[in-house]
Amino acid sequence: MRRWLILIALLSVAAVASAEQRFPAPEFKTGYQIPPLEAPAPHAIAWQYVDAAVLAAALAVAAWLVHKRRWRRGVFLLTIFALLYFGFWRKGCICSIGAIQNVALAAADSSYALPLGVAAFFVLPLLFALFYGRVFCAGVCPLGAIQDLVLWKPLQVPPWLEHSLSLFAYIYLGLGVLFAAASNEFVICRYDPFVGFFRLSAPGQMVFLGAVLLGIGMFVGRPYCRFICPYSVPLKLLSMFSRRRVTISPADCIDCRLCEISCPFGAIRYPAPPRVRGEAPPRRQAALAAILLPVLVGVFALLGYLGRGAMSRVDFTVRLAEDVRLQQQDELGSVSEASEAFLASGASIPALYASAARIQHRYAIGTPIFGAWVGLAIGGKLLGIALRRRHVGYTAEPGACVACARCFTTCPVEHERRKQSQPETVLA
Amino acid sequence: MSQQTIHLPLHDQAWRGALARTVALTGLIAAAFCLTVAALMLAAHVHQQNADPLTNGTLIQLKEQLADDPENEALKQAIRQADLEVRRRHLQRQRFLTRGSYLLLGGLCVALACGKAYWHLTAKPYLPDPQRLPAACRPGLARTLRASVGIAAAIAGGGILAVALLPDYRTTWFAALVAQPDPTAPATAPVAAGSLPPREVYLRNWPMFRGPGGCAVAPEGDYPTDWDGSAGKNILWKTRIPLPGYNSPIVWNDSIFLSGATETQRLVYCVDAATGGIRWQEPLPIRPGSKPPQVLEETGLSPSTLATDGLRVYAMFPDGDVAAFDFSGKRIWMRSLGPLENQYGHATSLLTVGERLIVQLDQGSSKKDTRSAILALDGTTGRTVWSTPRPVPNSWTSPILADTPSGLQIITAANPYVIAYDPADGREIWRAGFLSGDVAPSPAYAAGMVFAGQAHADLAAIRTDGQGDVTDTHIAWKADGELPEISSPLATGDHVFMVTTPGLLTCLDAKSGKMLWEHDLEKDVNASPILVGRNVYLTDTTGVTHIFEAADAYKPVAAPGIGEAVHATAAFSGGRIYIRGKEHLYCIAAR
Repeated sequence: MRRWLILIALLSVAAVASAEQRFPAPEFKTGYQIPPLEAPAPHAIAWQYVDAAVLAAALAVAAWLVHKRRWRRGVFLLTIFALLYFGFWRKGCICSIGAIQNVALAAADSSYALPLGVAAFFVLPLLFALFYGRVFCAGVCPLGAIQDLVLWKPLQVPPWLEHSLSLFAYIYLGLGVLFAAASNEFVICRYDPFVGFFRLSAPGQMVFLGAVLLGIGMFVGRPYCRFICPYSVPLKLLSMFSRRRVTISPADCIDCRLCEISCPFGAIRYPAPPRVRGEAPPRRQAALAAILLPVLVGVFALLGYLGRGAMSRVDFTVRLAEDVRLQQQDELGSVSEASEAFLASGASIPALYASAARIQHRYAIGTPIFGAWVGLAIGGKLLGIALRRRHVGYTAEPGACVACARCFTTCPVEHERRKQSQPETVLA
Repeated sequence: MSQQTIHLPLHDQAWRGALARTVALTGLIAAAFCLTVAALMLAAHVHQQNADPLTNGTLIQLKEQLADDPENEALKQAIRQADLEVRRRHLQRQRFLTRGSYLLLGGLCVALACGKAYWHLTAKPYLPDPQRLPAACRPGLARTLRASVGIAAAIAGGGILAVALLPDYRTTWFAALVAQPDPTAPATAPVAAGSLPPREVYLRNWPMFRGPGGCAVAPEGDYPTDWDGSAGKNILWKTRIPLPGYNSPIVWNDSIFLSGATETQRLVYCVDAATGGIRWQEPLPIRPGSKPPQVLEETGLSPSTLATDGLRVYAMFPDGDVAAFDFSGKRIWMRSLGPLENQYGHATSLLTVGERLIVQLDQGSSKKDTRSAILALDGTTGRTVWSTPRPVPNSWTSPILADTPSGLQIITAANPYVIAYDPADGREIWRAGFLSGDVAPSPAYAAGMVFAGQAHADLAAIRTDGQGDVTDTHIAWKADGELPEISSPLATGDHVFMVTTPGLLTCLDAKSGKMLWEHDLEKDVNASPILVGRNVYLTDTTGVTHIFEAADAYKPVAAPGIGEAVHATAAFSGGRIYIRGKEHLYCIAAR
């Protein structure tokens, strides 16, 4: 059954990819005037405000459901609403995750005006995270929702793998910001794995990526949110300082361990294990990690600087300039269709080179910062491991918890609170 | 890890079991439905691969037939019908796949929901094992985490380093190019704009095929009328040109430029006018694996005469490759304008107007091919400044620049039109249609009149002050008779001289078109006549230059020879004559 489902998912990839094939224009010159290519009209500005208002309302409802009502089923219903509204109805755009790039571009390019709706989508989830934790992830984000709904039999990811893979989100965030700020290139949107499902149309590789993630997501809870999503990084960081945190038990934990496997996202903090023989004391570990932190920042900044040229080639203008230069210098005819078209257009080559130089200058500044950011993430991770506070009882990890409320249903204290004699079983 | 949930008392175990079975059955049915839909979609996808208008075999075959028989209306109708049918099938398939995608999505939702519900209903209660701690509670966790983060950091760092150091990713730094012009970079070539030499310098040299503007008038100078290549009389020097070519030499001050090519090599030569030594020879690379252009033996692989604007020298070859060099031999830019569809091989020579290089690209077997064009390229970068389509098929003529009373005009000739263009923007000024067949002689210009014609058609004199189609309004006269096949006519204010390939020399009155005289040279001629002072110089294929007066009667002056076959037109500058023989370049001057 499981294999069948995976097979079907893969076949659907091929189907959607095929539907992307474009219709060629007739070749005959019969006097027929081919109508001009029409692009769909952009969304009305009013929709941005409607979306922002719906987002704010949904965040407020999520916070209320998680912190006040502690109601898993309510969160589940909100998830379905978010998927239908922000996903299938609004086609996954505007999206808080992609809004990172708009903000980065606005910060780097003073000529770019950040739309208010986009700003709202960027800021509101972060504000709510600062007060209520990741309630955005709980039931408002359509990307989280679609993964949450396909989750079937969750497996626990080993902590070492969880920690290693989660570093990728930091790297992806750094790259997304770098490319948006330096090149106006929105890679996070381009490689959004689920937007193709929402729109029922996407390039084949995007659909394939989404299908693979959903296939994995049947057994590993929210793989995109945990290991890839760049927006999870600021959400995670702000949630650590949130005013109200998700608690598994509404009162003191009785250490019954019944919630142990209730979280499919590895966000339950267990009682700290005893220190093993030969292991450095926590204070010393923390001191070492603190010393290592600037070293890592420096080393990775240097690596980023060394990679500035290669990374700048992500930019189309730089690639075009290189192709044009190659075509002009190596004299072997057409290097690429783009360079051929550029030369045929009669556009100025010096102006192209000047644009490429400006972009490369941005990369020369941005790549060391990106490298430093990666080093900071790694160093911070090591410091975080060293600073893990010893505690007793089971609590939700503030940064990792997506406030899905699954763990509530397993807690006998919670049941007692509700005075229910027959609590729900786990709804995965 | 075993997956269990909290054990909860059930009021009706039997009811729960029945529900689980129903859910499982529903899920299986949904899964089977999905599989069926997916299989049908896959089958449709595979079966109707041929429904793509771009790759449909029948359509391609029919189109190939149409290329051989372009006027076949029945074939066109058959293609339209087949095209319509393929498009219909294409749209049907797309609709089918779209609907299938929706059905598949719905089926998957049901199957997944049933799967989740079944697991929920049949889940065993979870009871923690007191003897077994979760992985995250086990001793040594911090060490494991540190190690895993360390490995991840090493992978990330190694990845960035690898990307940075991979040779393929080494980048050109354009800031350096913008700040410090690179002589090899076309956009930043160290040529100061607007530093063209004055017009009198241009007129003193021999910058293109048939001299300044292509008007076949030699600059002032004391040119010899007597030389002997075998005895060395008045032969200043003689230099062997390694690669063959039918292009004619051009001259700028102390440099002579010409080119040669074989199927494996193409060279542009600069010869020192003082010593005859080859100052430099620069190759133009041939694309690896490319086939040499199909040319006649009489055309050769280097037929186009070079051109210079006094700052750069430009060369073109039959495959459409054009390149610019500075006078030190450094290649400034190169462009590929080909491949060119020309049945005998592209042989048109180049023309410069200011810093623009004019390229006449006539190709295709019919004017309906709409592939012909005339281009102006920026001499500094090679980019296209303007491009004007030409309603003509392939030709072998070269454009000339006529300084008419109404301004500069680029004059071209091909079947059927002689067309004048504005050098500023490529706008067509006028056209006159009277040519036919394969047109090779280039037009001539003198005193406000253009003269063009070729064998098996007419020679016409056209006034240059017209606009639009001037066929019926501005043709002063037409003449038929023995007209040239290859050699271009020479026009002076009073006469038009022309020669057929077998050597029949004719002189017409430029005002009326009346034939004044004709003389059989009894030698084949490929070169074009040049006006030198009051004489006309015309070299035949045996290397003998026939010198005669530009007069109302044939008055021969001399007939010196170099003793080597000649197919090119001689160049004249500073009292020296440069003749390209089959193997050698000769410099002739009075000693």
